[in-house]
Amino acid sequence: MKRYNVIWILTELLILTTLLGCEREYQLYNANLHAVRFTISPDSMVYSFCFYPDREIDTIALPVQILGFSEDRDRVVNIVADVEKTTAVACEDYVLLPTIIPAKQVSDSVRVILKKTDKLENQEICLVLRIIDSEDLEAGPTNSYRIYFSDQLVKPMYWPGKFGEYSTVKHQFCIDVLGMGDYCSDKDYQLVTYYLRRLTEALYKYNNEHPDDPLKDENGKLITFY
Amino acid sequence: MRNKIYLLLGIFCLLVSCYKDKGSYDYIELPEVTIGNIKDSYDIAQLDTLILSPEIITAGDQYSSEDWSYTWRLYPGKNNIDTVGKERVLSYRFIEEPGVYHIYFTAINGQTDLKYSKDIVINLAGVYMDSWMVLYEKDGDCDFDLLNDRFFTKYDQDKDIYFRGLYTMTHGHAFPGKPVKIAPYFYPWTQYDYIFSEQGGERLSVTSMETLQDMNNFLLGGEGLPFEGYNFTYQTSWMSGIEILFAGERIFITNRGTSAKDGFVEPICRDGLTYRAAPFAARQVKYTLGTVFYDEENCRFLEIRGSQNIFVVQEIVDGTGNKFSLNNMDATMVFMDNGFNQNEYAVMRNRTTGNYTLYVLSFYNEERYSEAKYEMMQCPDIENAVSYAVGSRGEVFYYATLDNVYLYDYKVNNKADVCIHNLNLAAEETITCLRIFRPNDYAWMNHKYDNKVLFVATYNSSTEKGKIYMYYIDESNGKVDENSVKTIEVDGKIKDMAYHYGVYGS
Repeated sequence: MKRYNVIWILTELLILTTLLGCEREYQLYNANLHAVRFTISPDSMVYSFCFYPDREIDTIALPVQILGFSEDRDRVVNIVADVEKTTAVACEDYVLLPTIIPAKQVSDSVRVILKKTDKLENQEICLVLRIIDSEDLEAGPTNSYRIYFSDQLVKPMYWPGKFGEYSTVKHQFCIDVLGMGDYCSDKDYQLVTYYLRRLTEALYKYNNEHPDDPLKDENGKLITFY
Repeated sequence: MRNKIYLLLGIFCLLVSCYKDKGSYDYIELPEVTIGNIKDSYDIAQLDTLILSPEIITAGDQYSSEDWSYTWRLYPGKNNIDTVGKERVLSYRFIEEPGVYHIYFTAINGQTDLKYSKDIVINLAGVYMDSWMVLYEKDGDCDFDLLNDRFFTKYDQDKDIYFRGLYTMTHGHAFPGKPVKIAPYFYPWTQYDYIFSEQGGERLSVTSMETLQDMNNFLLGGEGLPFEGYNFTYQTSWMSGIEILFAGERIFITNRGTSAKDGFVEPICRDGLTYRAAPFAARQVKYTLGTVFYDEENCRFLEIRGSQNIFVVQEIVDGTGNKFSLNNMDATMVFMDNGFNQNEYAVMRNRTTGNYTLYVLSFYNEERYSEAKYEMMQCPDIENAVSYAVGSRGEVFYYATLDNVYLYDYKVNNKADVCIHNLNLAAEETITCLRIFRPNDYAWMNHKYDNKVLFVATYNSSTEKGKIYMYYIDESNGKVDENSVKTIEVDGKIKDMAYHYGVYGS
């Protein structure tokens, strides 16, 4: 009988221990976490000065966001060019502006000035930015971003499907009419309508002025829009 | 030992079945009790006091008033369920946020301890609840009133509520320029009011009447909008909420339901298509269309196709079933609005003969747009008409000259007659605007006065005051109940009137 009592007590203890294990322990947010990361997707972009014919320099803003709590003081984000992967030359091709996360904020942007130089007409250069630890903020995940830039006509990041098949002649025509070479997502219907209205009118006008030589692309195909 | 325990348990179970049920089956018939003089739901405005006086109706006279006690509970209240009354008559001032609430009324009988309950739904609107907007000119600028009169209100209210000079009240100054148009935009999750004058326009918040956007920023691409010949309307469906703006004989459109952008755009014109738009757009169209408008340059109707949310202006192909061509109208558009059977009603003045014709167009109909046309030969003074109004619940068409309102019986007699005989205008008082109360057009509402009120706005140039004459009308045939007339004074020359949709919280 004593043996049964011992077994019974042991069983109760086991159940009690198991039930105690069910008490939920909430993991506290790591208040000591002070990191920063890029929030832009995808992790690279293509820029051409051909997209904006009137610009000699352009400033690119890349959004960054902290991991951790905001603070009552400005915090420095340390951004450097990854020298092993970067072909652009500092000061000559680009200038990296200082970045801070302002007090009580959780995000800001890294600003890079890109310069239009002669060599960009013949080649595409690359700037790889990397967040490294600073005294205020350490590098979080997604801490790298690539900018490929040139002065050559390349297919932009956003080419709406309603613009039709891409060609460099068509792209140049769009730039001439709209004054810009990078557009918007297909889902920005209003903006796509706005672009297409202007392009359609301009194309009609061009073809009317050149009745024997309507606008064709580099492959001899007649250019049309939606 | 174990066997003895099992035996005892077995005997106990058997004995339980011998327990005798001593329940009483001598039921007492209780009188039927119902709660009367109270509705299932009430629409009221924030800060208003709701007074409810239910009656406990019993089949016999077993109970006296002393037998009853009451509770009124509000859900959701500050503490989830709040007791807001202990008397039979409830008087409760709603200071809660706009939204939908429930009030549970419970009557407890002291003799029987029985409870009788009723769940009442309260639709609590913001301060600027559903009402009637009146745009008027005052000292060369414009302002508007928001009228919520018991003559046409949907709310249970014991007084008329008027917000006067609301633009000035909100902004500290009148809206610059002479008035052109006031209009609501109602799409289930997006609501605005628009005000337009000869010097500009603004999109206003329906809850605060503060400016949300200036007309200078209405167009995408930073293009300026010409402040001339403009008009605004909208059409909505479950799929989209399209705003349509006319300016400088051009049409601009925005698709609120599908676009993330906030501006108007001019639709695409292919193959060199050009137009000069009359400032009227079809408001009920089939799902493949954005809208239809009239091109004064080529005397034709043009449709805007919204295929894949890209708007394109297209010529209309005259179908074989058409009763008249929409491509060779030889006429100038004077008026167009949506009316009965979802048709558009267009008054056109022939450019050759000068005669007026009422065209009935169905842009819901894939096969045939042209429904009917009526020569307005027996419409007295039609060439001097200053305003028109179309009903949507009957074949009702009014027009007003400076001193008379006519009901045009186009369907049976093709003849118009003066329909208000007691409109005794003062010597220098003239009609400026005519509107039918039509809140149910697109808002999936069920307003009891929809199409049942006619508003006639006048202006007295000697007193520089406006006046609104309100009449109940038969929504099926337009007959005016002249005895029902009620008037409201307005502090200026009324240019336009339209329904304001209130917001019921989130």
